[in-house]
Amino acid sequence: MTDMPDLATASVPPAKAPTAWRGWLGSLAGRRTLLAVLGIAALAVLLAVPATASSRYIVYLGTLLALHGVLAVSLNIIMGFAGQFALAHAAFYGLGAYTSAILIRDFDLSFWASLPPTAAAAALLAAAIGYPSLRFTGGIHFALITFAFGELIRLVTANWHDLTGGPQGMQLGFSPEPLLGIDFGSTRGIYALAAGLLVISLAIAAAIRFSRFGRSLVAIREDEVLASSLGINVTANKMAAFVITSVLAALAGTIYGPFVGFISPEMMSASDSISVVGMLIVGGLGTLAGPIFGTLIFMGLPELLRVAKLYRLVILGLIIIAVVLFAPKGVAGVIDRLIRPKRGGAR
Amino acid sequence: MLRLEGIGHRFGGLEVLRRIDTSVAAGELVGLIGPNGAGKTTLFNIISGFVRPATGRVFFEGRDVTGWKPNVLAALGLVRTFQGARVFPNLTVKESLAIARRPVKGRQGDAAARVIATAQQLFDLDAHAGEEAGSLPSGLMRVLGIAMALSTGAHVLLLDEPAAGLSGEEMEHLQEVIRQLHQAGTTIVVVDHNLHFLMGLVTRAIVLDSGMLIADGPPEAVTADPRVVEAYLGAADLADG
Repeated sequence: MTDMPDLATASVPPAKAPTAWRGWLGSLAGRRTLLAVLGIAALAVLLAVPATASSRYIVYLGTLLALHGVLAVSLNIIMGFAGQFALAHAAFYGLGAYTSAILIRDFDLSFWASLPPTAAAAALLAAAIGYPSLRFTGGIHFALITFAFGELIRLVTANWHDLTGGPQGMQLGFSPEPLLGIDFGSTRGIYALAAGLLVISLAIAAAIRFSRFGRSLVAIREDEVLASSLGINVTANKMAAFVITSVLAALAGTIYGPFVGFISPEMMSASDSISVVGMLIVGGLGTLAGPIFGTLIFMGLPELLRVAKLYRLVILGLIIIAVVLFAPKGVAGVIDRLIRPKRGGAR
Repeated sequence: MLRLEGIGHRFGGLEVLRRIDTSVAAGELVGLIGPNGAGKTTLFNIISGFVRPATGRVFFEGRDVTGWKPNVLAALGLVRTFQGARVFPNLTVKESLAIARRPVKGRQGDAAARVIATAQQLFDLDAHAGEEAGSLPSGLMRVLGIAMALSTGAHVLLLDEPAAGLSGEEMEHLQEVIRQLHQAGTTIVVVDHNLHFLMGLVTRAIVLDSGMLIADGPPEAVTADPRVVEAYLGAADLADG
C-alpha cells in the first residue's frame, strides 16, 4: 500500500506533464461554452427576427423554421444521442397534424384538448414499432421498420377518404384558442406557439443530454454490448428515446395544421423524413446546437436564396455530399475544430 | 455465490462445453485456464447472460439466473469485461467512467470507490481524463475497461484475459489492482493464457480443455497435474506455431 505513489509516478508517460491535461480540459470546457453560445445566438436569431419583423413573410418563414427546428432537435434524441436511424419522422409529424385535426373536427375538442390524446397516440405507436425493432443490435431493423411504418401511415392517410379526405388532404378551419390572454390564432400567435415548442424541445434535449438517461443513450450509440455489460437496459433506453422523439414530432404537426390551414398526406413522405436526417448531418449529429445550425442552413438558406422547392433538394443534396466529404461532424464539428486550440496529434 | 449445474453448449455440430459443474464461493479469487478453444470465453458469455446455455443452469446468489439479460445481471452486481480493449472509442475517459458509475450503497460502495481510486492512481487514468478512450495506448484501454466494470460497483467480476498485451510493469499494476479488489471483498474469476500472471495471483485454478473441466484446485497442484500439462503444452505448441 505504501509504495503505491511510487508505482503511480513510475507509470506516468514522460511526455505528459500533469498540468497539460488541466489546460486541455479547461479549454475543452471553453470550447463547449463557445459552441453553446454560438448555438444560442443562432437560436436567438431564429426566434427574435420573426418576433420583431413587420413582414408577414418573415413571420411565416420563422414559423416554418421553428417547426423544422423541433423536428431536427427531436430526431437528434434518437439518432444523434442513441445512434438509431429513424426514418418515420415526417410520418409522426403528419400523424400529429391529422390526429389533432380529426379530434377537433369529429369530437369538438379545443386545439389544446386535442394535444394530450395526439401525444398519447404518437407515444403508443412509437412504442409499438420500437419494441420489435429496437431489441436488435445494429439498427438496420429499426431503420427498415420505421421506413415501412412511415410509408404505411402515408398510404393509409391517402386512402382512408372518409376520415382523412384522401390525397386531396384536409382544409382546416380552426386555430388555437386564446390561452392565458395570448391570442394564438393570429399569424404571430402561431409563430409564438412554434417558437415555444422549439425552446421546450431544446430544453428537453439538453436535460436528457446531461442526465444519466442521456449518458446511457450515448453509451448505447458507442457500443451496445459494452453498454449492456455495464448494466444499461439497451432496449428500454432506446424505446424511451424514440417515444420522446416521436411525441415532439407529432406536437410540431399539431401546430403545422392551423399554421398552413391545410394538411395532406404529402407532408408524411419519406423524402421529408430523410430531409430531417439531412438537417442533422449538416448541422452536426449528437450535438445540442447542431440541429439548430442544420435547420437554419437546410430550411433558411434556400428560402433566402428564393429558390423554389424544386431546387432545394438539389442544393441540399450537394450540401450534404460536401458535408459528409469535408466535415463529417457537421457545422457544429467545423466550429468546434476552428475554435479548438492547436494541439499536437489531436484529431 | 456462483454455481453452474451441467452447463453444456454447442456451436453448430461442435460441442464447446460439456456438463460443466462447479461453483465459486463469495470472496474467492479464481483463475479459469485452458488452451485456445477450451470454452473459457463461451462459459463467461453464459455466466454473464450474453449466451443462453443449451443445457444446464446458472445460479447467482441462490437464484436461478439462466438466460437473464446481461444488464439485469450487471445491476445485481455480476459484471464481466471483454477480451481485447473494449471501450467507448469516442468518449473521454472521464465520460466513460461516469457512464459506468452506479450508486452503490454501504460498505461495498466504499470499498469499490477505494479500489477505483487505486486503479486510477496505479494506471494514471486521471492524467488521461480528457482524452478519448479510442486514442489511449492499448494497455490503458484495457485498464479503462476494467475500471468501468469496477465503477458499476460489481461484487462479482469476470475478467476475460485482462493481462493480454500488457507490459511487465502494467501487468504488475494490474495484479495489484486485482489483489486490492479481492481484499475489498469482490469475488473475481480471471481468464488468462498467461499462467505466470495467474499463478502469482489466484488461490484456486479451474482448468478447461475441449469443453470439459479437467482439473480444479490450488494453482500449484493443478499445474502439476499431468492432464493439465498435456492439454496446455499440446495447445501451446499449436498456438505458437
